[in-house]
Amino acid sequence: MVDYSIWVLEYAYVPDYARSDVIYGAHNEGTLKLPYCYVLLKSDERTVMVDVGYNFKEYGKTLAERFGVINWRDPRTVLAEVGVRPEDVDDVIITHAHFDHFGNVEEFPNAVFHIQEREFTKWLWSLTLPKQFSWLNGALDPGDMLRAAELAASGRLRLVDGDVEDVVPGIDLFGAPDSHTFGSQFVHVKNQRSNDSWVLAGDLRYVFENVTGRDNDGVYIPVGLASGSQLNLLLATERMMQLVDREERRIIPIHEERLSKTFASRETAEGLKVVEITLAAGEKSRVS
Amino acid sequence: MELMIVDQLPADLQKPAEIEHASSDLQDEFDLARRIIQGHSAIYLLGQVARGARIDELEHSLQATGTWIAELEHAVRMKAGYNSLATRLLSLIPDLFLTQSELGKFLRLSMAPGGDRYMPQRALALIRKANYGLRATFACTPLGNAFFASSCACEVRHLTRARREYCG
Repeated sequence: MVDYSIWVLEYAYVPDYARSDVIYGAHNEGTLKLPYCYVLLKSDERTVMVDVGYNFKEYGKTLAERFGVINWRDPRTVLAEVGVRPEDVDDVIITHAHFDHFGNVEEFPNAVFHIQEREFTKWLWSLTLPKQFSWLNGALDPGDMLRAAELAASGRLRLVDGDVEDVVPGIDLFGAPDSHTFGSQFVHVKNQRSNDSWVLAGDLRYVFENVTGRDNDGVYIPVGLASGSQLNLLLATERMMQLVDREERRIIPIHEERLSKTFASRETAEGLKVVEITLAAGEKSRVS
Repeated sequence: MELMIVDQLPADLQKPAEIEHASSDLQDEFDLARRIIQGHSAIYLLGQVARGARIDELEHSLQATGTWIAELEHAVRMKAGYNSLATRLLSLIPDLFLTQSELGKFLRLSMAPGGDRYMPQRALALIRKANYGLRATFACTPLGNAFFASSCACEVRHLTRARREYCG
């Protein structure tokens, strides 16, 4: 049996992000702060990350300037806040292949990466469509695919197909095909000793309202941005809710600024948040 | 491997207006080159590690990239006489054909039943080189600056434009 401590670590943010992009249909409702985060899971035996952010060496500066992403910090600085180094990370689970989740693989030299095979096969498929479908490829660049190819060449890429039980001990993966992206997945952490269950939603839940409803009425609202279907987003949401016995606070949205008010948290010297979702027995708090 | 960007444009493209003109003239070719490199990378990747990838699907994709390379070569050859970015792009074509050939060998030899395992390190090196070449060719140009990034934010931009175009 294994229990994981879970921290959501902010590494950059967008001060003004359109609300309509995080909540479907919220047009003309202004902007919100969108934190960019990854998640660290730590047990006695294993250090796992969910997503890895993006790097600042290649396109980061351009992105920052074009899309208003500010205060980017490297993984070494961010992980140090919870006493971990990038080389300590054993496994990385990639929820989907967008740049802010999959753009920093070279910083984790010892990690094995787990991603849905469909994310890549459908990329390749979309490339072969006629030009009028090129919107599907707008979010891709050769560098992303090449980085994945480099991982494959070094034997550190595991492509998974749909749901996987215990991809590493105590952690299940669930495929959410054709939702936010072609091959998104979410992560179920089963802390067995403490009988404690958490879902890390990736971008299947941007903010609380995607699950709670706009008026807290429990009506699911899909995220505003998807290359798949809204129906699949809703079905994935229902599946996540079932996994946590309908206790929505256990479905963690990493782009949610209010997460730091819902769980214990602190602000780092760089002005970024460390949010402590849960602590395994014997693990000390990193926020108090 | 981290690839470096050559931050230097040809001498005739030092003025912003000329850069803008030369790069905007190559929008389609630039997109095509990106697609080819992405396609080659994906074929390499899926050929190496995918369980569900079928050889016929990958061969079909490889045929597509072969067609695109031929299209790209034709298009840039037409423009190479007056557009120095096109000349630079043209110089990448031989490596794209070589990659194509290496990947074809890879699919034939390693994925066929009973075939020997063929490790296409050469293909990966060629893909890296092409990716570097493309980025270096368009570094500091509006096209090069515009394409960066697979991103949610990037999708927002596309989505907004699509909404404007199709939904009025």
